[in-house]
Amino acid sequence: MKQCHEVIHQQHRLRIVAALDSDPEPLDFATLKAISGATDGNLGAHLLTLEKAGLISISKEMIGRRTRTWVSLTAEGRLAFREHVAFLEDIIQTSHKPREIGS
Amino acid sequence: MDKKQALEILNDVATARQRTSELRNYRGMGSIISAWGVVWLLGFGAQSIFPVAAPFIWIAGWLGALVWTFTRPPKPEDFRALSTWVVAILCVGLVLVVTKANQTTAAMIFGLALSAAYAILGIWSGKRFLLLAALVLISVCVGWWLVPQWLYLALALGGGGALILGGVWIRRP
Repeated sequence: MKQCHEVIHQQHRLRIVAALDSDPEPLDFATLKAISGATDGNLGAHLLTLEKAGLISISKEMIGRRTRTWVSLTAEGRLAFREHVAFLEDIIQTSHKPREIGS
Repeated sequence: MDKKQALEILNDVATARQRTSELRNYRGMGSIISAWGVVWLLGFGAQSIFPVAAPFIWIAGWLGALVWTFTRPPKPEDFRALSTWVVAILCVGLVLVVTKANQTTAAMIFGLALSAAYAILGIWSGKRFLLLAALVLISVCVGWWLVPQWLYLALALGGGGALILGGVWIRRP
């Protein structure tokens, strides 16, 4: 049975991973902030959580005196996201009963 | 988790995907829009100030902007989309020939056509293009009705300036 991914399930993190999955190239911090609707601090914390889980990779680029943060989805992250979406689609298509969240 | 919650979450995912796609389009189109803005600024500017040189500036500008457009990522992959724009440009050219439009009318028609093109992009690819469409339309209308003696200058500064700044602005997330 397909299972809910607890790390991805959180709203902001799901938006971040969905955005990264739909773009073949890495996305920068500002773009992810606009898409996720999170504040700078929150976004940083969510990215750290996703990185610790091995779902994304983060790289820094120096442009003059400024640092630009680039984020991309790992193969594991892509697989986890697609399984999570499949889990959600499965609920809609097959079940009318409430289901427990568990990873 | 029930069906309604799952549906809401999937809608959220779809929205994030659509927003990413919009931002990707903006990112890709920004420098192209600015490049065409430079062509407008120089082309119509030359028609206003130094008309003898204008045809050469237009030809050089068009060639340069076309090369820029088709070498920037993302390169157009959909042949039908590319064909649509070619057909649209040919139609505008045909209208100019059939109506035997003079230079000022041709400038106005090109301005309207560009505004319409951005409006179409706005409908299909992202709302920010609608603002560019409005800016170009306003510069055409101001030049045509309010200051017809300075039509080219209005198109150069209004249309060209709007496209250059719009191209920079549109890239912002």
